[in-house]
Amino acid sequence: MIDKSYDAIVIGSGITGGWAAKELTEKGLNVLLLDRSPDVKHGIDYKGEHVPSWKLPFYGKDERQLNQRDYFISQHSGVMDASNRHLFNNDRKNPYQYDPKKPFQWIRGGGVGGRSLLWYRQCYRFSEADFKANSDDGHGSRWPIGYSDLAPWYDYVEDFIGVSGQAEGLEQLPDGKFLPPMKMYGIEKTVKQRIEKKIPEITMTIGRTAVLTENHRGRAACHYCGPCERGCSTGSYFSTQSSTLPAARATNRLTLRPDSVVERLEYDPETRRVSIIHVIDAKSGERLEFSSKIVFLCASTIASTQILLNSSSEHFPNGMANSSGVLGKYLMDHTTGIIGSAVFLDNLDSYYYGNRPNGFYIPRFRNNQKQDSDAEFIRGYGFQGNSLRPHWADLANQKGFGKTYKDALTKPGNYWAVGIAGFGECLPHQENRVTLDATKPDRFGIPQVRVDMEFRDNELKARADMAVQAEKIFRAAGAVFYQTNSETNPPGAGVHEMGTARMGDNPEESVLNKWNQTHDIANLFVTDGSCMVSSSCVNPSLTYMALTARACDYAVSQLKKGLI
Amino acid sequence: MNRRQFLEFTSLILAGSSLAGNTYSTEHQQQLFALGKNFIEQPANIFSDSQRQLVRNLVDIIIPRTDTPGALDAKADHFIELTVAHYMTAEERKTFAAGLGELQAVIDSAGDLAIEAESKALTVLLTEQLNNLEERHSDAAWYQLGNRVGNGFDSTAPFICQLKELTVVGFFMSEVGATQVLRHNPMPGIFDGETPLATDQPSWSRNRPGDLS
Repeated sequence: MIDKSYDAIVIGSGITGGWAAKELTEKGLNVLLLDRSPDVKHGIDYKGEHVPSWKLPFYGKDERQLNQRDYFISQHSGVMDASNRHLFNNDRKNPYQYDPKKPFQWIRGGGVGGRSLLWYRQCYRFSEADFKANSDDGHGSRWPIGYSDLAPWYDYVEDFIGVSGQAEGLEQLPDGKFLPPMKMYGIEKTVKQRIEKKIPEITMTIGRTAVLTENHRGRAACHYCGPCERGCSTGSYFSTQSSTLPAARATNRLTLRPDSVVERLEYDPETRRVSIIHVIDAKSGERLEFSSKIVFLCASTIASTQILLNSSSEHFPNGMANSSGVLGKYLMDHTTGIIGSAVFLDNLDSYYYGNRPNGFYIPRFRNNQKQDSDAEFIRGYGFQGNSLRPHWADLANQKGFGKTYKDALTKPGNYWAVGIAGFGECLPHQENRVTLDATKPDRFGIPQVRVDMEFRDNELKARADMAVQAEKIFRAAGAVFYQTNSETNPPGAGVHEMGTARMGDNPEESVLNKWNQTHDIANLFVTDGSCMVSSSCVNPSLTYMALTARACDYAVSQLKKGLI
Repeated sequence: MNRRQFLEFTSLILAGSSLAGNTYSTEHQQQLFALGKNFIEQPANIFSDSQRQLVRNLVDIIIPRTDTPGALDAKADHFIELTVAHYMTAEERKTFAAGLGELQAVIDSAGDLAIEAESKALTVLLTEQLNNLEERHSDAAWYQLGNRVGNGFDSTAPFICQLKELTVVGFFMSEVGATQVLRHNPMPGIFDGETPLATDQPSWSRNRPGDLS
């Protein structure tokens, strides 16, 4: 029995689900927004916001035993502590499977708003070359859209969320509609000037970030307190809570239902539509059924794939909307990790004021628009960096005691350190995949997902090249000491997982059409990272947002025409 | 101090948090942290009186009161007791207990010095011992260039490094250390990446030990 019907149901309230809820309600639809996690109310539930260090357990040192028991994956995010642990997934309660020899870190949010509260907020547009990469070099399938299809939607979402950044006029990193850029450290200006002079193909720019540098659409400019991941009651960074949820609520057409685990979708072969959403109330265990004219699946790449795989039927024996057989395959994530760090003895009389929630960016310069003759890999990578003036925690591991030791630790260290992390493009391999493990049901009786992924030859060769290029950069920048490292973090650690329900014009090799609508079922849309056909090397959230807004526009127009 | 005395001295610590009586409260985590109590207001009773006094003496040597407050003013000794009781693994606790026991044995064997708790002679003796320990463990990974005191904890760190790390964190992350010794500005309002730095200016306080710059 259907408990309630809506015009649209959006599954997941993270970055894309929030956008779908906003767009669909603003276009006049009554929307039910479901999230499996408990509610997180803007401001009120940011329990650790602005907590001083001396009020945190162990002054913020990792609570290792608790983390090892309950947050053994979430802890790899590097930004979780007692102040925001309630925003992360409990890995003991919500397990998934992987071969221990091929670790995959599925880092998840644990509340309404999902990872929109926890992301690093970097916003970069895919370029035309990114959309053409698969068809140009033959790895992966062809994107059904190009940059020009998405450009107006990039404009649209940037205008709403507020992205600060510097226009650079680069082909490989299209400029957006930017709020004023954040400032660089003095040392970064020195480094930028030196490397751009000595290595002209390199551009160093301030990170483009969804953090407000001026008041924007009723949200306050950043106050530079530092740890955004604890939540921001002034709404100075983009999250579901700060931005899309208030917009959706303002329409009076939104119903948010937290603690609602979507078990499966039901397909009606007569109408050829998704007819019922089966939900389990995470608190009471009660089973509920909802229906709607259209369904937007925005649960995150792996979770959306899990729901579709668990929604098989006589019509779709291998998972809902999976007539192509590619559902769950072609999982991608960026290679990530520190590529190098360097010490500088410049700008020593220069310090800083405020905590910048952002770093600098060196856009792709290898295989840029054409294959470099000395590159043993295809595609590219970008560098994200940050600078630090050492403080007591960097200086403590020296010998000595007493006044001299205390004085040395109290003042800033006499050097600057600059670190850069590499973000490498990952090719789509069908062996990198998500499946269901029916032998291992979770606490709701839903089969756990099993993730099988590893970085392969091209990703690792690009990684090796990053270390070589980082050395060139550090030398050109005038570092007095540096070290490099070409290892990558395991897959998943980039938290840019994508690709398991990819778009495409050909229904035989893709799940979604160019409007993020499933080829098989007209009223089912998937707009999270699972739709991606290739990964580029830039952070993907902005692209997910643009695709979601675009898909909502299309879905509502089709609905109004009576075509759905 | 014979072996039996040594074991007695260290046994309370080795028993760890299971026997520590008061475990640190997680109740306040249900509310807004910023309105909660300071962490070091939590009780801890894993140390004996003599151990507690010894830790007081040690943190006072590592970060003394100068023209600014020192580790004792920040109750870094109590932070260490809380950490030993509820943060350390059994192995780490064993290392800490043994290290403390060795120092107590040296004090006990000083015999005629009959050292008073706050005496100058004791400070001289303990400073010498700390220097000896640092020399003995000068090759510990903890001292390696590039290592820093972060959110984690080096399980292989010898006692001397454990002691220094916890004193430093217990001092600079405390309210006293952050606001009276470092510069504390929780709401800067702007970011400027190139302000002039005077030679006597302290660093900014940090939100977490692992925070960069």
